[in-house]
Amino acid sequence: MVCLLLLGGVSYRQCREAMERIKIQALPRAKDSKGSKKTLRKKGYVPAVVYGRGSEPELVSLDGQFLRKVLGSSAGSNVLMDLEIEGVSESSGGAVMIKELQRHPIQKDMFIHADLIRISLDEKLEVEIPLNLVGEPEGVQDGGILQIQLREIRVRCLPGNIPQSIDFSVEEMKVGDVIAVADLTLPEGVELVEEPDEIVASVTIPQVVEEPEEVEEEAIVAETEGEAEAETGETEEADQE
Amino acid sequence: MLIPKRVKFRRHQRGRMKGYSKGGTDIHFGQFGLQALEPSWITSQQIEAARIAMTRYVKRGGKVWIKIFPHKPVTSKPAETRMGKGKGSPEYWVAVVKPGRIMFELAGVPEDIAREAMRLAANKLPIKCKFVKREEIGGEAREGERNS
Repeated sequence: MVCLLLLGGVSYRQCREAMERIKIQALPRAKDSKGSKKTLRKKGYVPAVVYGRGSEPELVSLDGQFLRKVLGSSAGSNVLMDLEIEGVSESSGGAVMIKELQRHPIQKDMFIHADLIRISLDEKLEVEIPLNLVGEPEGVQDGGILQIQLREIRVRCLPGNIPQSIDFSVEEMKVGDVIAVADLTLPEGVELVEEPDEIVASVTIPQVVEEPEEVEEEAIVAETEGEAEAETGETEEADQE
Repeated sequence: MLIPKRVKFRRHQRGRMKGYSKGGTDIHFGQFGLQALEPSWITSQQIEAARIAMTRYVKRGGKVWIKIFPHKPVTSKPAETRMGKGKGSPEYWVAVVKPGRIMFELAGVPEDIAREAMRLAANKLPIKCKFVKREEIGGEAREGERNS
């Protein structure tokens, strides 16, 4: 089901409920200076480029607020979009995905630039899927630390079969236990690209922080007190003389 | 304290710190991070002080990552020396930090403890910092807290 959304502001929630592909409209833009791109960003647009599948790269601008909502949805950055470039023939648009997104280093919700790649819905592609840990490991309750080595996993699948996330339960993990990529259960039609022996998460023993400095400080205080007492004793003796 | 084991050149030029950090602006290892909002040199003493402040508050449980390293030597001339006669001798080491850089990461502790630990660490640094959280699946989960 294709959900229609326009830059004008059709309710996003309606789309989110039944999201498979999102229709996104873009405005064409000319190849221009850094200043003009800054002006675009100030107006709330995100400069973007569309390329792939043997066609010429096209420069466009997307609605920043809409893009933020799309990326904030459950599909995350692997969202499938139907691109419509205003004033350009339909063939120039088509199904696209976000290939790369540049964000502001401090204001992470502000996008600097987006790369959109044209995809075929019949060809498998490689995407990174977030791994979702479910539950609290037994080892953590016993004082261990859950260390997550891999937070995203690279898989190959058809664009229509891209899972939102891969869940795995860590509840039974004890201290010293390790989960590898091979232990994950993938949905149907999804192939693993990562090495199967790569570690996803482990429960380790926490480091104990020793604080010898406090003891030293106490010792120094004791020494100085001792010295002070000795000094006062000496002065008292001198006074008596 | 963090100090390079071996360097090619003992004395560096000072350089400039304009713009934002080119890399290291995302949380990669832990769950929480301390992000620089200003450019500055962070000395190895300051890094160590921040680390100690953080680990003392967290006590046991939790893991700390230091994501900056003091690669740059800073030289100074001895007191009451006439000008000239060459550049001074290396005195201490600094990490060049630009806005956006995640300096420390923390994992394995609840958010309130992480926030307080990062606040204590930020107090040891000469710049304004921001507490940041890892982005959650399907949305932004970054919150800011400014420390002077």
